[in-house]
Amino acid sequence: MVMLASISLLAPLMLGGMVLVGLPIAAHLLNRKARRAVVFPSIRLLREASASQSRFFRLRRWWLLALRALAVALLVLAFAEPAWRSASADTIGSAGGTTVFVLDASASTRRADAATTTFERMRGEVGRMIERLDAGASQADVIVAGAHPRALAGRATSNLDALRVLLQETTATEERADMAAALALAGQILADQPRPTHIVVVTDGQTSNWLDEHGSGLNGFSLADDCAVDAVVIASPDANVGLEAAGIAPQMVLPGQPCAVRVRARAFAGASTAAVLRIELNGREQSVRSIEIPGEEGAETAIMLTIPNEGFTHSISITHARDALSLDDRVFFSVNVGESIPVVLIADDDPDDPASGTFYLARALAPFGDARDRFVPRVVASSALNLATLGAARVVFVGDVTRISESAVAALKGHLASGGGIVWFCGGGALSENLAALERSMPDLLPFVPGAARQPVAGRPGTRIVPGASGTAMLTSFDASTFVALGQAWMGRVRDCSRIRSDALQVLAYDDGTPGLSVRRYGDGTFALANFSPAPRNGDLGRHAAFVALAQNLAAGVVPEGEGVAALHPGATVAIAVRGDMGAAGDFTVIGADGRKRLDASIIRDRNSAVVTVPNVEHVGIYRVERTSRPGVTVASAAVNMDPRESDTRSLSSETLGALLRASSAGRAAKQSSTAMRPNDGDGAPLWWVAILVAMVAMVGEFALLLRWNADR
Amino acid sequence: MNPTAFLHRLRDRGETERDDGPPGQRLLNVGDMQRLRHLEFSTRRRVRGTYLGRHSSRQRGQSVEFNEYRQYLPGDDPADLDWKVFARTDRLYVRLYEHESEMTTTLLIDGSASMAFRGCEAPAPGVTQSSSSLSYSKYELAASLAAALAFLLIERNDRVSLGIARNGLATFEAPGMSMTHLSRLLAKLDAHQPALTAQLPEAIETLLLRSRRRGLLVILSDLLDDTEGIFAAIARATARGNEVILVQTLHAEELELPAGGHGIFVDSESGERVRVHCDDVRSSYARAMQAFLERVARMCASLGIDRVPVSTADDRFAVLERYLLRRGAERR
Repeated sequence: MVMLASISLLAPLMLGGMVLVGLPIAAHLLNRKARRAVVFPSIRLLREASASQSRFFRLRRWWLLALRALAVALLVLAFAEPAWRSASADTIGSAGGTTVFVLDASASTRRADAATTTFERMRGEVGRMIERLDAGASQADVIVAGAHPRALAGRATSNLDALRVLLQETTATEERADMAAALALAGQILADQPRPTHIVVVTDGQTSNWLDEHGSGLNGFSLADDCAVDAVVIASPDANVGLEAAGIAPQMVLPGQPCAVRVRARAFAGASTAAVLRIELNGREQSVRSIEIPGEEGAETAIMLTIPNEGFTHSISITHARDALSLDDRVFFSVNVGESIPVVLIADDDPDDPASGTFYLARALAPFGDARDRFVPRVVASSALNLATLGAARVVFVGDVTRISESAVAALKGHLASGGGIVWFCGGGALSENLAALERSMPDLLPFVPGAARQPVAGRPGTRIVPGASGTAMLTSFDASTFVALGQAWMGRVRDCSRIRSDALQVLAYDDGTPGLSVRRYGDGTFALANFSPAPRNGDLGRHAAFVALAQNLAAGVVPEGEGVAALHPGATVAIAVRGDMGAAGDFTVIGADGRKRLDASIIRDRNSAVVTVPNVEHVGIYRVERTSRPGVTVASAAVNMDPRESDTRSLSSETLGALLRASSAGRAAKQSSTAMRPNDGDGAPLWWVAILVAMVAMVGEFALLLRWNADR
Repeated sequence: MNPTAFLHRLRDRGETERDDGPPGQRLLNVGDMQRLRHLEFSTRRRVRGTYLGRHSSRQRGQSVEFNEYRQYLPGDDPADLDWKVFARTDRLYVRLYEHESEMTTTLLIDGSASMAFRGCEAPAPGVTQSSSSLSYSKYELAASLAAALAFLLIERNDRVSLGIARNGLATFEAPGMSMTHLSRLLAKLDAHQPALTAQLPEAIETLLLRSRRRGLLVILSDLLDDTEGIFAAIARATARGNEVILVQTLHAEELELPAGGHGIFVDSESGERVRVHCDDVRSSYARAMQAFLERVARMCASLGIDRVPVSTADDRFAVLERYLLRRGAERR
C-alpha cells in the first residue's frame, strides 16, 4: 500500500482500458469451456502422470494467463502515465501542523491531456495529499491561485473532509495567476497557526507565472523562517499554438470604414507550424487565412475588414484549430463605431482651476468638449488610481500629484505591461519621490532622471524648447512652424537632468541641451517623461495653441495606432466607455462573455460620457453593455482575451522553482523540505517506461516458459 | 461340419453380405482363417484330456509312452512301482507315462466398458458417428484374437470354451470342438456390448470352479481393472495346473496420447473425471504407461505365463502369428 500511495496516475481515466485484461481471461475461460469430455478407459495413469508433474507445471496455464494479464495490465497502466511521487509529499502533515496548498488555477492549467486537464490532475493531487494528512492533528487550507487568489476555507481548518469537498468544486480560471499574492495569502494564513507549517505549491510550473519578463522571481510576500515549502510540478510540455490580439487600426472606426485587425500567432514548445485562421465578424465567417508560425517569436498578420454601417458595436473573432489549450485558440476584438479614445489624466489639482495644469491638459485633449473630440479625457485622483479606474484608456497623463501609493504604482506598471502609454509631466507635487517609487517597481524605466528645478528669473526669458533628435519621427504631424510655435512658449521651471538613456528617444529638448521630452519602450508599453508641465506656475506652455497639438500628438503617438486595445484579460477590471445619451442613472446592463448579466458592474459618469466598469471579469469573450430599456441592443462592448503569457507552455525545472521559492520569500530562508519533482515529468518521476519494461519482461517470461515447457513435453 | 466346409460357407455368405451380415464375420473372416490355418497352437504344460488330441497330457500310469521315473511317495498307487528298478537299486520308483491328448482351452475376454475405447476422437456416449472413420475398439481386437484362437484350436480338434467378463463371468459357452460351436462362439462375441466393470478375478475364479480339468486359459484384457487381483487369480489358476496366456489388448491412443488433445477425461468405468491437456502430460503419461506395462510383464514372468501385448495399431494376426511361431519353437 505504501508503494501504491507513492504512485500517482496522470491520466487515470486511461485505466478504463483495464477491461482489456478481460480478453486473455475470457479467452482462457472460453478455451476451458470449449473442452469436450473424452471417455477414456482408465484415468488412473492420467492421474499418475498429472500427479508426477510439479505443481508449478500443472498450473502453467494459470501462470501464462497471469503473465498475459499482467502484460496487458501494465501496458494499460503505462498509458495512464504513472509517476513516482517524492517521499516527502507522502509525509506532508503526517505529524500534524498546518499545511496550506497553493493550487495554480491559471489559464494554462486548462490544458487538456487525454481525458483530463492539468488542473484536474493538480486538484486530484492536492486531494490525495489532503487525504494523507493526519486527520485530527492537522489543519489545512487550499488557496486557489488565480488573478485574485482566494482561500477555500478562509483559514486553516481541521475539517479536512469539508475542505476536500470544497476543493472538488473548484475549477481552473481563465486568468493569469498572481502567485506572489497567493504565497502572501498563504503566509497570512500560516502566520498564527500551530507549527510546523508547510506550504505546498501545486503548479504546472509555467515559467511566465513564476518569472517576469526580466527573469526576476516573485516578490511581495514573506513567509516565516520555519515554514517549509514544497512544490509539486505537474507540467504539460506539449506544444501549443496561441493567438494574441495585436490590435485594430484605426482605433476610432467609422461605419463603412475598413480597418486592419492584427493578430499574432505563436508556437510554443514545438517546431514551427502552420495555422488556418478563421475570421468572423459579428458571428459570421468572413474569410480564412493560412499562416506560417515560425516559433515562439510568432508571426503577426493583419486582416482587413469593413465595418458595417449598422450597429454601434461589432465583435470580431479569429480562431484556429483547437489544440490542448483551447482558450488561446480564439481571440476577440470589439469595435465601437465612432468611439472616442479614452484618456486618463492623473492629477490631484483641480481640473476646473485655470491655475492648474490639468485645466489646460484636459482642454488640449478635448478642445470641443463634445463628440467631435477624438479623445475623451477623464481625471482620476492619484489616491483613486488603480487598474479599474484606468479602464480602457490607452494613454495616461500624469500631472501634479501628491505622493502616490504602491497600489497606484502597481496600476501604472500593469498599464505599461498591458501595452499602454504613460506621459509624465514634471510639474509639482512629490515628483522625486514618485519617480523613485516608479524606479523601484520598474527599474530603468525613466529615460532620464530629472533633478532640481531651476528657479525662474524674473524678467529673464526662460529656456526655449526645440525639436529633439527624434522629434519629427515621434511628432509626425508637427511641421517646422509648429515647432517654432512651440518654441515660443516660456518654460519657467526647467529641471536639470541626467543624461538620456541610450535606448530612449529624445523628442524635445531645450536649447541648452537639457532633455525636454524623452520616450522609451518599457516592455510592451511606452513611457514618456516631459521636463515641463502645462501648469501656469511652470511656464505658459499650457496657454499656447501648440500645446494642443503637442497633447493630441502625444495621446495618439505614444502608443502606436492599433496597439494596446486588446489588453483586457480575465481577472482584470474592464471599463467600457459609453458615449452619447447617458439616459437615466443605472440604465445600463452588462452581459458577460458567458451570457449572464453582471450585477456587480458600476458606472462612472462624466459630462458627456460614462465608463461602465466590470470588476474581475472571469471569461474570455465579449462583454456587452446594453441599455436596460432596450434589451438586445448593444451600445458598447469590450473584448477580453486570455493573457498571452499563459500560452507559453515552457516550464521551470524543479531546481529552478525550488530556488525561486527560497529566494523569493523576502527576509527568510525558506526551507525546502523536498523539492519538487522534475517538471516536464508530470507528477514526479515518470514510471510509464517501467510499466512497459515490466510488461515486456512478462511477455518474454511467458515466451521462455512456453519454450521450456514445450521442450519438457 | 469340417473346417473346410465351414470356410466355404463363410465365403459364400461373405460374397453376398456385407461385414455386418454374418455374426462374427467382422471378427474373423475367410481371409483371416486361411492365413491362420498353417499355424499350430501347442501347449507347454501337460493337460488332461479324454479324447485323442495333439497336446501332451500328464496321465500317470495309463500312458502309452514312458516318460520318466519319480521316487515313490506315500499315497502313490503301488501298482505304478517299477519292481525291476527296485531290484537293481533297492529304491522304490514309480513310472510316469505321457500320451497325446486333446486340450480344453478357455478364452476369457474382458467385456468391461474400458474395452469399448475407440480413441479420443470417438463421440461421447449418445452421439453417433460413422464407425468407419474410427479404429476398432479394444474389445473388438480381443474378440478378433479370441475368434482366431478358437478357430485354430477347433481346427485341431481341441475343445474351446468362452467366457466374457462383465461384473464377473457374464457369458459362458461350454467347451466344444465343432465348427458349429465356433459359430456360436463368434455370435456370442459379436453380440456382447462392453459395459460396466469386468471383475476379472471373480470371472477367473468362476471359470476355475466350472472347469473340472486342467487346461489352457487365455485371458484377453487391458488389465486396467484391479491388476493385482487379476494376477492373484491367475496365480491360483496356474497353481491348479492350468496354463495361462495373457493377451493384453491396448488402444494405440492409450499407449501414446494423441497430439493436441485436451479436455475432461472421464473414466469409462468409474465415471471419475480429470482435466488434462494431453500435450502437458504426454511424456509423464508415457512413463507411467511404460511402468505399468513393465510391471505386468514382471508379474507374468514371475508366474511363468506368456504375455502377448497387442495394440489396435498392430496387425493383430501378425502379432498372433509371431507368438504362436515363437511358442512352437520353444516347445521343440
